[in-house]
Amino acid sequence: MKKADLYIILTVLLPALIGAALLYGTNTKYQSMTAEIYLAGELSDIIPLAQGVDEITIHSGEKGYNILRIEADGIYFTEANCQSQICVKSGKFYHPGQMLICLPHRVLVRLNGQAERGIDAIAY
Amino acid sequence: MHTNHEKVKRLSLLGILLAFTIVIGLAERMIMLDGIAPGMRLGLANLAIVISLYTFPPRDTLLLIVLKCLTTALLAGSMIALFYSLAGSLASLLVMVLLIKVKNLSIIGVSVAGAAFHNLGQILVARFIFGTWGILLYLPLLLIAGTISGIIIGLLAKAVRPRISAFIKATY
Repeated sequence: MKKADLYIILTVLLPALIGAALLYGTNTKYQSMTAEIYLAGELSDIIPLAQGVDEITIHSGEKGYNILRIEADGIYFTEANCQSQICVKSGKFYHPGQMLICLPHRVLVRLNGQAERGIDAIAY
Repeated sequence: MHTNHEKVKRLSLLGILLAFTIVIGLAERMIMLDGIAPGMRLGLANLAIVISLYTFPPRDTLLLIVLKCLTTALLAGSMIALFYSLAGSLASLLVMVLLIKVKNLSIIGVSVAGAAFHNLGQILVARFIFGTWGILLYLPLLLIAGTISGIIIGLLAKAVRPRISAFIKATY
C-alpha cells in the first residue's frame, strides 16, 4: 500500500460515508410519509402511510406483479413473480428517501416524508 | 517455436481467467447482499480483470471483459444484466487503464478506483432504466462496499500476480 492508494481510498470513502450518515444516521421520527410508486420511470400512484396496514398489487407489463405491504412506519414487498426475489429479500424500509426497486419489472417505490422537528432530514 | 509457446500460454491464461470470472460471478449470485442494496454482490470476479490488466495489454483485458459480460448474461438469461455489467466493467476498465500508469499508486488503489467506477457505471444505467436520479441514493452504500471489496481484491491480486508472471515468463 502506497500513499496515493490512501488518497484514492479516502476520495471514495469519505463522500460515501458522509452520504450514508446523512441518509441513514438520523433517528428522527417522520410524519406524513408517502410511498410514490413509479412504473418504468413514470409516477403511477402516491399512497400515504398514515392509513396503516394495507397491501396493494403493482402490475407491470403483461404478467409481472409485485405485492407491496404498506404499514404506518414503513413499506416492503411481500411477493413478486420474478426469479430473483431481490425486492422481497430487501426487507422493510423506514426512511424517507429510501427506495424499493424491482429490476426485472422496472418498479420503483420511493418513501417521502418530513422529519417531525420541521427540519428536512435529507436535503436533495 | 518460442513465440508460439508465449501465444499458447497467453491464450490459456486468458481462458483460465475468463472461466474464473464466470464461475465466481455465478457463485456470487447465491450470496447476494440484497439487504444492503438490491442485487449487490462482492465483485470477486474482478480479481481476474485486475490480474489480466497487470499481465496483458489493455485490449486483452477488454476482450476478457466483453466475453465475461456476454457469457454471464447468457447463463443468467438476462439482457438487462448485460447492460449493467458492461457499463460497470467498461467504466472500471477505463479508469484502471489510466491509473495503472500513475506512479506511487499500487494495485490496491487501482483496484479501489476500479470498484468505484464499476458502481458509478452501474448506477448510471439504473438511472436510465428507472428514469430517476433518485436512484443515486444507493451510491453511498455501494461505494462503501466497493471500497472494501476493492481493497480485498487489490491485496489478493498483489499476492497472485508474481506467481502468474513467473508462469508467463517461464520457458519450456
